[in-house]
Amino acid sequence: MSATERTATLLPRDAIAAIAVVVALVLVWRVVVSASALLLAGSNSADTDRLRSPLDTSTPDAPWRARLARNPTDYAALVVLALELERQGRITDARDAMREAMRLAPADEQTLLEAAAFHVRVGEETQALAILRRAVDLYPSASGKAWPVFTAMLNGGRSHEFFAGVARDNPEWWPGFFSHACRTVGDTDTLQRLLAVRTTAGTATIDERRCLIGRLERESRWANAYQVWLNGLLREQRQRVGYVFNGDFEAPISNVGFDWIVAGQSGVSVETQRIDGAGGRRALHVEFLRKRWAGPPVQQTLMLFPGKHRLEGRGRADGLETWLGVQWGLYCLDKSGADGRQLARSDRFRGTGPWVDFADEFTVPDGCPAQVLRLELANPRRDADLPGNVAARLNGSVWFDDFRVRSLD
Amino acid sequence: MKSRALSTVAFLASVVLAGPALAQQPTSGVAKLADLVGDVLVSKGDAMVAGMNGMPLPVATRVVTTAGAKVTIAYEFGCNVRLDENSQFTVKVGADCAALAKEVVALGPAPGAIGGGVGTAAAGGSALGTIVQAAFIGGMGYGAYETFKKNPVSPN
Repeated sequence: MSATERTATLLPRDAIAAIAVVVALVLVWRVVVSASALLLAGSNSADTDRLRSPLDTSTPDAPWRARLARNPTDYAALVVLALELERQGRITDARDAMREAMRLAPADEQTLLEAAAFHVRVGEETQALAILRRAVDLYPSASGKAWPVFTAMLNGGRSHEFFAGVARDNPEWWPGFFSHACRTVGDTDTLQRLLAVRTTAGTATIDERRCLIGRLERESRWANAYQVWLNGLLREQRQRVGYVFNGDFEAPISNVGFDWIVAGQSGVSVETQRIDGAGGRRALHVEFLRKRWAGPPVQQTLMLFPGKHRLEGRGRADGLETWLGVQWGLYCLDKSGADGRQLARSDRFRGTGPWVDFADEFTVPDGCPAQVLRLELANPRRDADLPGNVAARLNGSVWFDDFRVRSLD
Repeated sequence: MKSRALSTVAFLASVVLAGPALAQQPTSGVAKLADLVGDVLVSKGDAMVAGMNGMPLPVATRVVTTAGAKVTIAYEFGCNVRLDENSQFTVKVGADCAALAKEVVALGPAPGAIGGGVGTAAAGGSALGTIVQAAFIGGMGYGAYETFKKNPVSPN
């Protein structure tokens, strides 16, 4: 009697069939699992097997290989092994180990940062930047590591395509990075190019513009600063750009670049408001609440060409209690951005009165690339070409409207 | 004699008629805008206003191109001065085209840009590597395996 015949006599036919099906399923499962492992490992299977085999227990990398032999998915051991192999100068093996770690833990912060650092060290910047971007996309806390690398790349004039791509993609972290870059990247041309990409893509923020314009102004690159500001205006705003921008106060004050800049001061309110008698619907309203004078509450930087000009405007004091009064002064900005000589000034405003037109002709000399028009304390000596420089307390309001500078040449 | 008188009258008439034209010459322009693309601003009175093809340009007029814009300053005597984006030109009298072209002032970053166009040359790899490596302060280093494994952000 054969073994099969003996089994047949011991088990019913149905039971034998069931066992056969189970055995077949187990065999199929093992085949599927093996195939999956091969697919996952891809072409690196030989490499990863090599990485996980403890070839020589005397080498420094042996403990990590042993660890991997026990647990092939230990990505941390793979990263440490990669670093050890890199230290030994075995860059190809190190790269294989790092790649395998990235495959096993593609979203682990430390793995990403170590892999990025590795690629930087071996000169593979494209890979490094892509991995760093992934790290920052996933972990905002990684910015502390990534920003210095990004700015070093920018300072080196490298990887333009990467940065252009990210600038267009507009990830959440971009404004934070640009703020960092605006302070630390040495070449402002690079920053201008980045902002140009953002402006074209329609993603540039006001803060980005403000930061770059401020940086260019501090470096006395007035024309570039003005151009960055001009390019950031809406198309309809660019149809007519007054030498005094928004001098009729019909548009909201943006506080950016060559628009009106309001210095936030407690006890001083500066805003555009509707009022009867203004040239248009709105005018500038400055209100002092028993405020000790602490500097110009509102000003605008101008870019007038050398030659003869005429400053015009209108104002109305509205219960402004101060013995000095306030006036508008126009000054050259010297190369350091400090005030230079006074070019023109308005009438003095104090007390209460009707709307008053004022005008003053002046000449912008050569060597005066930018000017500042600002509200200031009037000088008690009306013939003085300096603002008032005494302690003064102000209470009440004053209104202004229809500022313009006309070219007389 | 009669013809002489007629020619005198004709001369006087031409002077009278030409007078206003001569008086307008300073504002009628020595050049015009041509081939205008995008937003080009031209100084006028108390503002920079949008330019358009054929706009006359008197001497001392400023022309500014914004991002993505370009224009040609076409002089009456045949000289063409081309302005690419982010540049400025002040209309001057002159007959030397090359000298006029040199008066164009670039207001944007130098050529070789991130957003396309000509890329700048890369700095030396090793020098950059040194800079960038310095940025990776506090890397994991060797033997920090246990610290690594305790990393709570690890998803695996």
